[in-house]
Amino acid sequence: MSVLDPWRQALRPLIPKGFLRRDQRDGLFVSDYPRYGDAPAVSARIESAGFRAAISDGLAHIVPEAENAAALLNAAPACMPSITDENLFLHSLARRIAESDAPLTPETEKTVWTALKYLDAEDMPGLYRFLSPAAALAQRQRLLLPGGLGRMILRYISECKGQKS
Amino acid sequence: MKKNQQVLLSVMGWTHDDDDPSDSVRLLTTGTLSGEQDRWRIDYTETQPDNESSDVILTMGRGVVTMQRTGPYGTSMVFEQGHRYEGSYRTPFGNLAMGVFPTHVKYKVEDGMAGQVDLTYQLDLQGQFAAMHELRIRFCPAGKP
Repeated sequence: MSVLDPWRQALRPLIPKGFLRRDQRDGLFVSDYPRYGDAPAVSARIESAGFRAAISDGLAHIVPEAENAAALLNAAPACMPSITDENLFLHSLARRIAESDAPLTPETEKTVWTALKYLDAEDMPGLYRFLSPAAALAQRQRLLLPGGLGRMILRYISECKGQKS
Repeated sequence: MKKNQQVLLSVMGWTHDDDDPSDSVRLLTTGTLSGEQDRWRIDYTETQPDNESSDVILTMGRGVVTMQRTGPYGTSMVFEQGHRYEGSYRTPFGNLAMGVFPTHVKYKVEDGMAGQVDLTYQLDLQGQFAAMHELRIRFCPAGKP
């Protein structure tokens, strides 16, 4: 099960027509449901399920509300996979993030969404290339990334030994 | 491995963060350069104003620079662009967890054993951002301009 599947499964029944994919922009998911009729009603259903939908150019960019996001991040169990030559850098980065008890904030949510999309795509080299400088920048700005993100990455590493980071 | 070459070193360092103006250190010293092709090592001694001295070993190879410093504030650092390395920073009062995230790593050694090492890195201590550091080292064979 991919990391975004719980939200994907919650959203899919709410969108009667149109695709639902990972967003290549700032959102987490993107859908073209506004092209198929009653977009306000679909948006209202999505919002009542704990998401925000911003429509632009016929596409809806969807992210979870803070409470919904916190529920997924906080549900990530703590685990400590063994360190290998392949996962060394990502392991170290994820372990450091996992130590944080900070909540998701508007300042850090774009970073978290992007990291989750890499994780969902199982693109570990891409995740490390993105997250390493992003985490350094957040640290320089005195922003703390939520520990749940680090725990989700560690859990993924523990389930997918041998993936290169 | 080539014989050790005595070199004259100019070491310049700047420290700054978003809030504070930069602080700089300049040092002229002599050291030794050894190595060949893409494996180089420089040994030199830094003497502080209070006469406390520390030996520094710099190695350069395959795009990675390492620095080991002895003395009461001894440390080992690995600089590879885009990779955060963790280590510890020794002080007379105890050790601190240290992280180094380099944003610029460049070195060059010319045929005449002159060259440069340029590093820019973000330093964190105990998981908290400490400062951005820049280090510029220039060296040339001792006795030559």
